[in-house]
Amino acid sequence: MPILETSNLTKRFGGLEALKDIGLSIEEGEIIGIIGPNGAGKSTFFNVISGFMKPTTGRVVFDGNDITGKSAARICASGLVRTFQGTKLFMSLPTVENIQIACHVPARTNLLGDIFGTPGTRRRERDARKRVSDVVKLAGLESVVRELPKNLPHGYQRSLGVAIGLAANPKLLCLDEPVTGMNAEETQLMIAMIEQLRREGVTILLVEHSMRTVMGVCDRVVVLNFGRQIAAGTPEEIQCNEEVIQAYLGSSDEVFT
Amino acid sequence: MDKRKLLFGALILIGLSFLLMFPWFSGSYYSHILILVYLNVVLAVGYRLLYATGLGSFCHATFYALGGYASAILGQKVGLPYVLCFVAAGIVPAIFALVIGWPSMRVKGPYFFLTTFAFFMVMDSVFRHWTRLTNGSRGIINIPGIAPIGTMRPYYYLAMALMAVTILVMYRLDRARFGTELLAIGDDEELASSVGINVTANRLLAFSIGAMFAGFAGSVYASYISFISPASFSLLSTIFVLVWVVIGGPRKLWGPIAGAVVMTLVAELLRMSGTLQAILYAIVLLIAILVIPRGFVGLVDDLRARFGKGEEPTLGAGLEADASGM
Repeated sequence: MPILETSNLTKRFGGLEALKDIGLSIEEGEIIGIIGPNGAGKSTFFNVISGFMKPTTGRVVFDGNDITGKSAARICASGLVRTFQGTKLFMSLPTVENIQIACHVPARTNLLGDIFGTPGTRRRERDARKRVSDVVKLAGLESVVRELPKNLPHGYQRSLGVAIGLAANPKLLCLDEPVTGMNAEETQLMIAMIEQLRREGVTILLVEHSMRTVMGVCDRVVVLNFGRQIAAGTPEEIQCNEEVIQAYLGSSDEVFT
Repeated sequence: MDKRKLLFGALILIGLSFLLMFPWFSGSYYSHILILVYLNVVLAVGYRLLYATGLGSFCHATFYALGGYASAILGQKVGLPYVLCFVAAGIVPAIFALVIGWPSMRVKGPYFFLTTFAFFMVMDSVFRHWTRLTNGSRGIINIPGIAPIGTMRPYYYLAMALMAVTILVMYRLDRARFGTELLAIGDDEELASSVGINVTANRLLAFSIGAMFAGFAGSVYASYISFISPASFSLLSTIFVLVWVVIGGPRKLWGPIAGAVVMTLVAELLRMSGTLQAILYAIVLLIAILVIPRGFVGLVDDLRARFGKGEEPTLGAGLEADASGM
């Protein structure tokens, strides 16, 4: 059973069709890339599947459950987690707390437990501590746990962004342009992290501009243009696809860098 | 236990003893001022809960009033024992907060300010015109409480106890996940949702809890003064609370406490009239926003950074991962 399946996914903003009839299917353990020129609808797609926008029509089924139109927090709790473009972090919390806050994604807050420190709360905190330390190690942030995000170098901030997503215990992690704006070294680290995540059983969906990253790390690639899906296949197949090449040449994007 | 903590603890103990003995060696004027300080602290830390998530309400004084009126009516007109009046004084505003909060929270910050302002105006009108219940502008007199009308000492300790319990509860909430969630929401709502935090539920809870404590404070106030009227809860009252929280700094618990203490003492000790207070608050707010936007808390953090100490963990410190375990 695919871990994520969308059918006829459409999103309209007034007269603008940002997504039209998107249907894709992702198996567990895959790394899927979503590419396309600017304005193709990649971020809209992410927003719709992760609950930040409601689709106009269509369905999203995650892990066997229909999550169409559910709230972002609910979808996150069921295992579909997305990260954001650029640096979106909790600026007033130290690095480690940025990760902690994403950690136990409880169905309900146990307020009285929090005030009085009941055993259930304490156990949750112990499990959370273990997960936090695992995520910190994976993201390579051990040396900066006490720092505020504003004091971190850019590469670390981006890693923290991914770490926050990781801490939320995803079955499917949707990374929105994780390496955009990174130098070669930072990009390599991110790719290594992504591959490590696959080894740990996390399915990954990737939106990226950098073709080199996408071709290097993805099992399959889906290409969007003007809200429509114009191609899907292995990186090699996509690279030779006429329509894809046309779509990119028609825009001012740098393609096969 | 390091020396600094020991010294700090000793200072707290001395301060506490001083405050506890205060009514015995000081005149009633200063004790009265302290009662106001204690109640204002309760208001400030209650307001801070929602404010930390990025929403400032305009109706905190209304919750204060609702608590006061609920307590006064149940005590003076219905004749219930004070304990029940006190409890009701917390429940009534909490329910109102849930009821008006739920639709209001679907709108962005400035609009939330306006909807809560509308709520304030409506309730002000209700207090003034539902004379059968509230005696309108004439107010309710001879409100009973925990001691005969006109006594001060019992109310001094009641107010102090309420403040202590409120601070304790807020402290525990801060260090728990709830507190960190509130800060996270204040930092970035979207990001908070993306990691599974239910933003609206958290905000509603914060709004409600703040309203509840404001209600308790209102009950103590009404019984202490033995009189309550709509004039006690003007437009400016909530603004004053807002200023305490802003100049203190909402990120840490001690900020609004410091803000409330300082502003109340200044206004009362200088015996400022209402107009003068309004001017003072306006100036203070302007200066705070321009010079110390993160309040006293921000000031202390900046000084700490200047002198080389690292940032102290803010909220959720109870979940802190052991550095040596990394």
